[in-house]
Amino acid sequence: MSYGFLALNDDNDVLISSDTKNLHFAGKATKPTTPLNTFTNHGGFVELVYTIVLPNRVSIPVPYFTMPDPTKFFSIAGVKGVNSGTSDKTWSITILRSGGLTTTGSMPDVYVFVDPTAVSVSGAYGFQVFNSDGTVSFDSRARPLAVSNAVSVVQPSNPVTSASFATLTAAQCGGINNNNFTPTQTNSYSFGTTSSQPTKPMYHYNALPQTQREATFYQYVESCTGFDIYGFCLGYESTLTNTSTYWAFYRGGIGSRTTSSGNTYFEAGWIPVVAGCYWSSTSSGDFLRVFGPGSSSSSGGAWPYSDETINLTAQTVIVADASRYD
Amino acid sequence: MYSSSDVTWNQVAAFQVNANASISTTYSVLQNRTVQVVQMFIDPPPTDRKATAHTISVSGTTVSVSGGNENVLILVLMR
Repeated sequence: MSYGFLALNDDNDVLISSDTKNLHFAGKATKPTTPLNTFTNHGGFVELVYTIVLPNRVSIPVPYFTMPDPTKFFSIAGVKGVNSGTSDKTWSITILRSGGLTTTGSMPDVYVFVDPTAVSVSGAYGFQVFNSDGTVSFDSRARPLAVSNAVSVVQPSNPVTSASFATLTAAQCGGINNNNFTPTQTNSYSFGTTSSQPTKPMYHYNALPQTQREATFYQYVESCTGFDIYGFCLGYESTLTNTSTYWAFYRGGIGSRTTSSGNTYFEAGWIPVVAGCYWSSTSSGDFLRVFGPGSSSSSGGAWPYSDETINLTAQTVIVADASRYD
Repeated sequence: MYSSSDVTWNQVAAFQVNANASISTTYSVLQNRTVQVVQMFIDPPPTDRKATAHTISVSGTTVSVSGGNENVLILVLMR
């Protein structure tokens, strides 16, 4: 390269380059007043939609969230921009958090970083670096992103174990308000020594992994009103078959921070976002196996869309210090 | 501002890849650098169908994104 600017750190990693764009702090996204969705069974979750307006329609925001409750799991589920004003774009950032209802005060803070063309700056002096196309790559008047850690994580393929399942009724999803699908399985990762953790850590992690799990309960009842002679019903004989398939759907998250032996650990786990049940019932009855109303069947409930885990590939959790941007 | 002990990830490219689309681009600036590619769903994926993320691969200085059935944002980062 015969022109341009390049600044490296002590490890020869790029800090500033005229061939790239530094991410700069654009601001904190606005918290919602109430969650978009909540869910209380199976450990529960809330879906929170934050918004921020960027002054161009080209730049893509990179959100980081704090974890006000270290026992919960968090992730970014969506980042969507809609044109607004004359040349702005309003971005909606969807954050998932395990656990039930929440107040505004206990919601995460969302810090947004973006290339410098979408950052408002003030002041008449400083240091700017430009790309070859004339756009700003770095601007010392804005606050550039500094990263403190990056850890690759992946969830276990199954959020629950069958051993933790309580028996549920097979009749018409009568156990719909169960908590059988509360996630119990996580993978643990060290994020380094506790003393090296940021003052106010914030994280970038996307909820790409998804899984759905289901459990089917079956019931068969045979009855005889009359005399049962060696298995033959002399009278009215009826049978009833009930099947209920309970299910839950999860998205990936990180959280459940702990410390042990001077190190800080996080878990890659699952956030339950919706659950349901499908049922079917078949009955039949007749007299002397000849005369009678015959058989009938019925069903109801939501049918699970699948029973598998998808998008389960390792993703990097990027950690930074939010206190640099408060 | 930075000190020489700071670390960051710089943005090489940021773009949208639509459902069932694919893209493969070479960035010479990635030569001999550590690369990080971030994928973000645009809409939170639905729960009534299979919402497959795109597969990302980095080979040398070429970044390829393909195979997903959701619209996503892709950020190519390096340091």
